[in-house]
Amino acid sequence: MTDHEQIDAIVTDRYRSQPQQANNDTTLPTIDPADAAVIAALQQLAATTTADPAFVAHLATQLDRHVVPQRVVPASPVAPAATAPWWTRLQWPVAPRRLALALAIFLAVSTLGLLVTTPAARATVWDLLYGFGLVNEQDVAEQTVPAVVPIQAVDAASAMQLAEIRQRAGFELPTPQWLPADLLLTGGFVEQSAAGAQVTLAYHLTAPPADGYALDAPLLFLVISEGPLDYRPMVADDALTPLQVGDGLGMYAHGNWAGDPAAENADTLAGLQWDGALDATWLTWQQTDLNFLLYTQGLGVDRSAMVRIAESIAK
Amino acid sequence: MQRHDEEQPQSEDDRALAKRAVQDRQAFAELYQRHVDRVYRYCRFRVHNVQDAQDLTAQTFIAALEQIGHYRGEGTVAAWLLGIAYYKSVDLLRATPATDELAAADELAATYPQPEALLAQSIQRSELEQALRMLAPERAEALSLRFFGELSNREVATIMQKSEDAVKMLIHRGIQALRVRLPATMVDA
Repeated sequence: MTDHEQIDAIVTDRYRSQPQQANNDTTLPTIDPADAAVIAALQQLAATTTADPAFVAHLATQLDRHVVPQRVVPASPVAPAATAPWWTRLQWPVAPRRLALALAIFLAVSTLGLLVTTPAARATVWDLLYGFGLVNEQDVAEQTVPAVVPIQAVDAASAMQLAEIRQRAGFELPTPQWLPADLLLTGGFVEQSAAGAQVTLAYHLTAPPADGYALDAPLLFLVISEGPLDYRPMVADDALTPLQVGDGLGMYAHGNWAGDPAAENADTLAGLQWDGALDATWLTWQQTDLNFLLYTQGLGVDRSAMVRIAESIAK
Repeated sequence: MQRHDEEQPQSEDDRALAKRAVQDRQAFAELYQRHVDRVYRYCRFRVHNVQDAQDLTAQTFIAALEQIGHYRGEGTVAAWLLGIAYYKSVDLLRATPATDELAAADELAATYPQPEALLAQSIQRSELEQALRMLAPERAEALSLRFFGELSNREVATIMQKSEDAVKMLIHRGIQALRVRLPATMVDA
């Protein structure tokens, strides 16, 4: 038997191995017994490897609950009472999804920087929006403004201000018990909607500088919501991957939008493109009856650290 | 041994289920129950630990649920699912630091008897797993899809984007490489 015939016999399962010789099927060629032994061992390994029944049942439940993302269609203006974070509720005359997403992302990242940035920086953001002709000044004035509770110090005073956030939230607010660096709780705000309260906590590596944080300063923010969290506009769909968080499944992404908003063309998202190499991570998950979004930038946090932070969150 | 070169009758039933699963979550649940062990088995021997295998299996079925509308019925559902698992495992393995497998392989080869001492007896499971871990990636991939995913050569070739002949050679060489790395067999009880 030539080598080529041996290979064909093995890979097409048309051979007579020692056990089969008892059946005396002489129409089939024989192969090297050592090869037959390896194949038999692989088959045995396959036959004796099954998933843990508890895991199978758990995943079945998760799949049954999984909400398949729908394509976002440009919709009519969203009412102020909607549950989405306030920066995604800005209305514009033409709301192509791409522009809306880019601006939601830009604002999501810069919002907490605005808590302690200068009036000049704050004006720049609004100028950007107005310059695109996407924000109606009257509509902005009518938006619900969240209660901002800036935390200026990182001592007992900040703990007291966290207590104030907890009181405003009106629900038992869990916070991370483990963080990847010496992060300080530097800001937070609470907003109320028909679906319940939504709390955003910001953490930085330093106390707020006199002239405010740079927009690209390393930071972590944690959003905790009684209602659903509309995170998808902030992350490219293709970048999201599911992973285990505690007893449930979360969605994780690494990267961020980058580019020049003024450079919009047919191939970019309002001039921005998703860059998976950028130092930013996103994790969203559900725990008991609360929805969470964890975002970090500039901290070198990886997937396992994000899960660790998430799983450390306790009341 | 199952004849992988022929499609199994259940494949037609799977296709009908997959078509229904676009609208019917229960149909997807049925597909899941039929194929979860096969997908898990493939994942288990691609990533070599239970936790990552479970994560990978979950990622595969969630992606399948979200993309079920894109399954065109051109190949079997099993091959489609394992194709998703294959690409997910590639992403995961790229993100995982490689161990010094060459050094481990040398140590193993020095420890065990020569290939001619290998006879058709039972082979310790852990030794086989260890030997699989040391295979060249493409050979390991082809063997995993073939034996643990139970796919035909044609299906493996489609997933790996190679010719059928190339897949046959990878499988054959993978088996030869396992022969070199495996120790003398234990006698069956």
